[in-house]
Amino acid sequence: MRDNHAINPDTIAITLQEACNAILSPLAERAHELAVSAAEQTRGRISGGLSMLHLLPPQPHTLHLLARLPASRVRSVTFSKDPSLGSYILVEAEMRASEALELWEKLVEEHYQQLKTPIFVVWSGGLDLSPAQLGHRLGKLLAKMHVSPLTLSHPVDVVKELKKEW
Amino acid sequence: MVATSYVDSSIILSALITTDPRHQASVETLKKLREHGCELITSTYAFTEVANTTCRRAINGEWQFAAPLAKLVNQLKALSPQALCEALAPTLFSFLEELHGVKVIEDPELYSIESVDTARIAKIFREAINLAWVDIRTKDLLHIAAASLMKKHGVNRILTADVEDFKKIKDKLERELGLKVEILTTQQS
Repeated sequence: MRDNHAINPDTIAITLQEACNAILSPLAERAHELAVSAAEQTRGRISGGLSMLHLLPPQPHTLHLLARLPASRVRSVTFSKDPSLGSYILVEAEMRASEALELWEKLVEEHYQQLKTPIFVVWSGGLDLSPAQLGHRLGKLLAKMHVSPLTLSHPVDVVKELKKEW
Repeated sequence: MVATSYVDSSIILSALITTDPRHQASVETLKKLREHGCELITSTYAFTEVANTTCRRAINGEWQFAAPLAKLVNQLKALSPQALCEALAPTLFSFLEELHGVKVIEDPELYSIESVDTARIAKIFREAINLAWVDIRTKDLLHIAAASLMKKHGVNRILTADVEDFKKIKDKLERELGLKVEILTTQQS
């Protein structure tokens, strides 16, 4: 419980409604319905963990994704933008690494195709699988989202970097 | 036998690093070759170069990752530099195969021990010594030796981004070893 960070469910409802109202597309009405529904679903669980929500891409699929999150074990969901990566969704979960990876794989499997926005999950629990197993699954996840593990925020000339090695 | 390209470390890193000036050209070339039925392989030697270059820079903080990836990198780094490197190498490995179809292959025969006079030498080093006439630095010579020994896997082409070292030996490799050399430049994209 982190009541000091908890957001009033009504705030979420307003945020979602405002965001959805801003969409000028035929899906806006449905998005609005889903927003209200998502807020209602979250109402009973908000103090359990879902403590921060910034909403940038207000699409119905985003709301489906939010509804699928285990709210009691999710510390925050952030919709953000990175200059090299573009828009992305970051889920911070209070889980061990293996559980977080399972959640991540599920989210990518079920939502990435519709969202087209890369999803990331980080965890606060321990690393309960070998780094090699983690890396193997991570590489596959990133490949599904077409996000290179070496997405850097600055220019690099690989030929020069390799020549420095010799 | 299926035509196979040996992808060297510069192309692998260029395909992985989105801010390298050849990134788009590398990704498109790999895609085009696969679409034409060409297999893409690399050696564990090339992959070691990629993994070491990447891990050292990630540990030293020389490379800044995009925000969500930085979180993951820092989380692993906080455990230990070993944990970061042990996770990073298979991440690159599976990403390369999954998205770009580049397989890291190992052929035990490259390391079979041969006798030369009284000395005993691994086959790949013997090949490299025999190819010294190519006139290139040892690091690149080892790639050429690996590609040459992998001809039995169908390798008929080397893909590289190293213009400076490979341009001057391109014709020689094609003529004498039957290995085509494709050099990707920043202009290609």
